[in-house]
Amino acid sequence: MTVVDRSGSDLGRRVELVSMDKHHRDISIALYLREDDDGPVARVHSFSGADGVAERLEYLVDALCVLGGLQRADAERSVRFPCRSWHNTAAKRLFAEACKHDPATPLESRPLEAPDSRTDQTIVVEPLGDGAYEVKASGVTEDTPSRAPAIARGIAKLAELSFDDGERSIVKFACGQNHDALIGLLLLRAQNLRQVLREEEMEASKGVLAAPSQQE
Amino acid sequence: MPELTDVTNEFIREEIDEFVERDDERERMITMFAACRPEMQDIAAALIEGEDDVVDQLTRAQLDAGTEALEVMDDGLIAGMALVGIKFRENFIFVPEVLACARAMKAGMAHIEPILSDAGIEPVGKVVMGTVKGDLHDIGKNLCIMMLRGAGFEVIDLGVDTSPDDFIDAVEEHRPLVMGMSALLTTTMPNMGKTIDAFVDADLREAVKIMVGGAPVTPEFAEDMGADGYGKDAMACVAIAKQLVEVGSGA
Amino acid sequence: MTTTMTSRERVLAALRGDPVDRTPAVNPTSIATVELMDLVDAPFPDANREPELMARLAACGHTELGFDSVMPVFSIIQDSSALGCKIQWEQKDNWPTVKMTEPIYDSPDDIDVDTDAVLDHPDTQCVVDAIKILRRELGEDVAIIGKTMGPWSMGYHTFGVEPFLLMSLDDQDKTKLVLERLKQLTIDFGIMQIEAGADALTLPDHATGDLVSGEYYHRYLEELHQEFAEAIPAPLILHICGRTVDRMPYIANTGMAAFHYDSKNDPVESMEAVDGRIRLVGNVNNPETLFARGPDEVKAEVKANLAAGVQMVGPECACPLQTPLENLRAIPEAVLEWTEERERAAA
Repeated sequence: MTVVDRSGSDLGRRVELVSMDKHHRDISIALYLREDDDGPVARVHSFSGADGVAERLEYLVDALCVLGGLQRADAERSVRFPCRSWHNTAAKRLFAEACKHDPATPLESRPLEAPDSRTDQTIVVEPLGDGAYEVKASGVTEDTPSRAPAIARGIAKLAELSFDDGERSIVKFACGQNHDALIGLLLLRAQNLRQVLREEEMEASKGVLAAPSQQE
Repeated sequence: MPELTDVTNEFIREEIDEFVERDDERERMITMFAACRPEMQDIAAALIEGEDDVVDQLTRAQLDAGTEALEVMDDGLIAGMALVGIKFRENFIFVPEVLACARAMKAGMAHIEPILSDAGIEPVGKVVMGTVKGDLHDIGKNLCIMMLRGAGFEVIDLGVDTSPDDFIDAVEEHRPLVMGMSALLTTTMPNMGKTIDAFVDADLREAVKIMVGGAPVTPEFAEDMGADGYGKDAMACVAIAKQLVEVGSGA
Repeated sequence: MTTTMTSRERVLAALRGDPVDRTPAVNPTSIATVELMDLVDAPFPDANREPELMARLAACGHTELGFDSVMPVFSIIQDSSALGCKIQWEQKDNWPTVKMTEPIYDSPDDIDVDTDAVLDHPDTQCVVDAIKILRRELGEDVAIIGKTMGPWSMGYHTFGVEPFLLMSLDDQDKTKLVLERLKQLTIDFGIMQIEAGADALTLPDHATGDLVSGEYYHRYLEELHQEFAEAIPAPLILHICGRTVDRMPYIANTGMAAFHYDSKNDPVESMEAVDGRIRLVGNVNNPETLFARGPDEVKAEVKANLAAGVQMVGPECACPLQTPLENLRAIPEAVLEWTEERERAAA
């Protein structure tokens, strides 16, 4: 009997997986990465043949473009970073966010400014050019120190950016190019990094079969 | 400097001789047991053998005879568990034996804990303790907790498999001065670092002093991870906690 | 590379210790993933309870990933469910588990196994029916591996882990009686699967070195496992997680066909420990390699096993349900690469 490879050995390397998509029949959806002539390109893919899967995947491609500033590539359901390099940690985060986004609400890129979730400060992210962004906070008082360093650290962690923890809170993309939409998305999440990491941890711990002696 | 022959209980002498191989630990065990009264060594010996009925009976007898509860706990129960911990770490005994010793410890503590709580001693400080995510071993953690309580700390036990998030929740809720993490597997040790990172990410790193310990953990690893203190065993844990409380309270 | 054997011939030859055209890639434990569930529309938990879905998902191991065997008993709870243990069935991306905090036995006197009823239970019957479907659909070319749980593991499930371990220390006779009263289920469920068409059986019995000593295995399980090897008319693959090198010499005495060992044990050391008296199946790490790394790292571990002379290769235990397919495919690919490299070097 020949091995029939329907399982997509030409998809490339899997970057991220959402094992049960709550917006479409609990299907699994993944982002697969490979190289083409223009550099790294990622494909949104599901092995499910359920009704409506194609439309769901197309929606996710749109979401990646609007929420994270990615560009559609020529290949089917594929996207790439406009800088033509690959930001793996950021892509994982962006993909997770795209899958979480409620299709009933409009897709919009986030601004580079947001009220801080814990204080009365307003966080503003200023593009400095060459892929660098400075995180600032207004409304800082003596009793509530600036949240800018913590937010900047969170953004850096979520996208694996470099972080300059000096007098100014500056994060920078290694590619040296700007990714404003992505920063806007990360600004929101960096305010509650703990929630983000908690979700990531929960996902990672699912699906592991423990021997009886290791179960509760 | 006491010698092995200064340990009056023959069984404990043999246990130290056969199972405690590291020189520094031998010295510590000999010094510790040599300083304990024979009646306390008998309790320790029964605990090491997992004889919960005997530990129960001997503990009760000592308390009835007027021995201080803290002496019975420190010199009988905790001392015995220290030797059990070494044997387990070195794979001379395994989980069933340790469970039996823990059962014996519990039998003794059932008489001691009510006395300690009734004494209404002002806690030295508050400590939150847990075994890290992915690790289901609680022996080391439980030993530390007993020692800490014996030393006057109020301890909140988070149990095993404690996620960074659970540690953060506990620190936010209980506001301890010290948090202790235990790991018994090399594969789960990195979760200590992840937990400390999570405190940094949540902007809470300065809120608590963090100590770490467990068989595979080393002082170098503890420092790399950003911990404030490292305890090589349950006995060291109390000393570290005391130091960190002083630092944390600005004393 | 010249292939002269069918997958099934290859696996059976390896289990006998006979020459093979290349080392088989086998799965004594599950290689089901959420992506495969979607591919064939056979999601958990239903794929653990409905024979059609179970067979469809199991077949993927060969048809999609290129393994030489298929193994439909993804989890370890069928036997215990049939005994009456409460099961948490979970959802698609998580494993069903026995609720060991609600044990069904307190003493050996509680054990009264109605074998007919247990073997007629929907969860055990599901396995038997799935094996029949697989044999019918896949023909004679692919090895089918079933699974029957050992009495030590069933002891954990039915008594709870801590009470069972304490009993094993407090009362040897009581513990042996528990094993004695549960062992027939291991044998009968195994034979039922063989009669349905299984070529071999995985027998998980978790006397792991992370919990109990090698001497424990010798005291409680060595003779029992010899009994299983004699009573069940098919090759048995013993599976024990964790550190097990210290008990491998005892395991090698049992007469079982193979021992499936995990990544905490070095392949070379393991081969030395068994000294040719039992075949080994090893041992690609699940959480760090198969789940979290890439095909190159997977292949490196496979080739380390092959270089050590390990007779069959596969994941060390049931792979995480989110494991990337390219990593699972890398296991049989690594075998082909390694074999071709050796043939070229020999030419």
